[in-house]
Amino acid sequence: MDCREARKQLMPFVDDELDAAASYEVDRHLAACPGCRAEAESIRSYDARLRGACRGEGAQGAACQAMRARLAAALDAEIARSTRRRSVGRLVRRGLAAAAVAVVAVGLVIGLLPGPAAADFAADHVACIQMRSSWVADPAMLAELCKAAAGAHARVVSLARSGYALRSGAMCEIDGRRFLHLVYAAPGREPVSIFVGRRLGGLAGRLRAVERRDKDGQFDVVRLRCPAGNDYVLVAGAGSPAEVLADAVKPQIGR
Amino acid sequence: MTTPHVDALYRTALHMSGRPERAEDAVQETYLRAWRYLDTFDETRNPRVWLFAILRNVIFEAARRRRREPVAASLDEVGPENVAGGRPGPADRLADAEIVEAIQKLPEEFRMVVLLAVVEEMKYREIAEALDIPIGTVMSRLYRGRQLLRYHLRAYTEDGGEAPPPRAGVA
Repeated sequence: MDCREARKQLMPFVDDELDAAASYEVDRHLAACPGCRAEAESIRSYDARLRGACRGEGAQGAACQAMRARLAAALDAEIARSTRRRSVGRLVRRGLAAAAVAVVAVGLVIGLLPGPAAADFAADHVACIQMRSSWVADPAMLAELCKAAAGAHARVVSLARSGYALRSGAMCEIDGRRFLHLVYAAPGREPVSIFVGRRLGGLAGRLRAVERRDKDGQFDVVRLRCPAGNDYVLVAGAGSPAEVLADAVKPQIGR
Repeated sequence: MTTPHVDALYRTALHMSGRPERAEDAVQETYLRAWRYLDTFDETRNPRVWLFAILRNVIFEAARRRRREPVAASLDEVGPENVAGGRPGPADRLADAEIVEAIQKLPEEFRMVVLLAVVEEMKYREIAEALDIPIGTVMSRLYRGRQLLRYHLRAYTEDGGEAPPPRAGVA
């Protein structure tokens, strides 16, 4: 390999993008060529300084550090929740064969278990929402959150105004459809769960039934239709997230 | 445990936009879109790459909205022959602020690739997927971006003695 060929390969080499054979050839050339070796070192040196500068030193880096600190608490809580869900999931699966009647309900609980990617995504999402503390209290931002469902964000806005704050969020799955599950909490009050999703399919039918229950004041459910024809749903109710969801859907499961 | 995606997205957005408030907005908009289109997310894809693909759109859309005077020069004008290269640079003498300032001078398309490859250490194929460009384009932008960055940084360490490169823009 001559210098011209080596220089062409130098950046992929430094970036560890070459296959073993090509990497070996470049390596061999560098061992014998001080000029190309210095160039490779130069690339590495500038890269290292760029990484250092962008990752947390100096004035710009301080902003990154401050943001990380705001995210840390939210993330710890999310990790704890994810771990708990996985443990519950193992127990639930063991008991799956025990009662045929319970299959659907158990399926719901399993559906709430996030996969690794979903859990990761959810953790970031929660952190992101909490990153800006004004989000929850800011009706404009909440309106944006539900923009596609014009006019139906009133419930979330009223929650924020009445002192509820976003406590956690996670992705969950119901009947193979994904929902963003947000839990709002206020001191001395029951937490409220809100599920946000789209393309409800068969689940929409069940939620219509829940709307009837809503008239009894047991649940607060709003089903929405956005202009594109996709369903959005906000479900709010008292109790733990799993209880709210199971109770909300249960009336239709037995039919 | 860290928040790898948020940190990486924020960092990239910060150095693309140059302003913390814009970066925070971009990251939040990215997540907002991500959950809106979650049903279209293919589980076999890398969520990090997917999020960066969304961030890229968010950043460039915002930049287009802000931009009043488009830059006219073409990519071809920013060739390696126009920038310093070849010699080891005194990178260790540079202050972080100078480096951050220098990266702001890169054309957006170069800057994004340099940030993803060098700072976020993403693989070429991941960058190609996130930015929806061929791997060859990733490599050429990275090459030119690194060379141009080195040129700008030399201005700090060598009293700006060399002639400036031609106006760099993205075709």
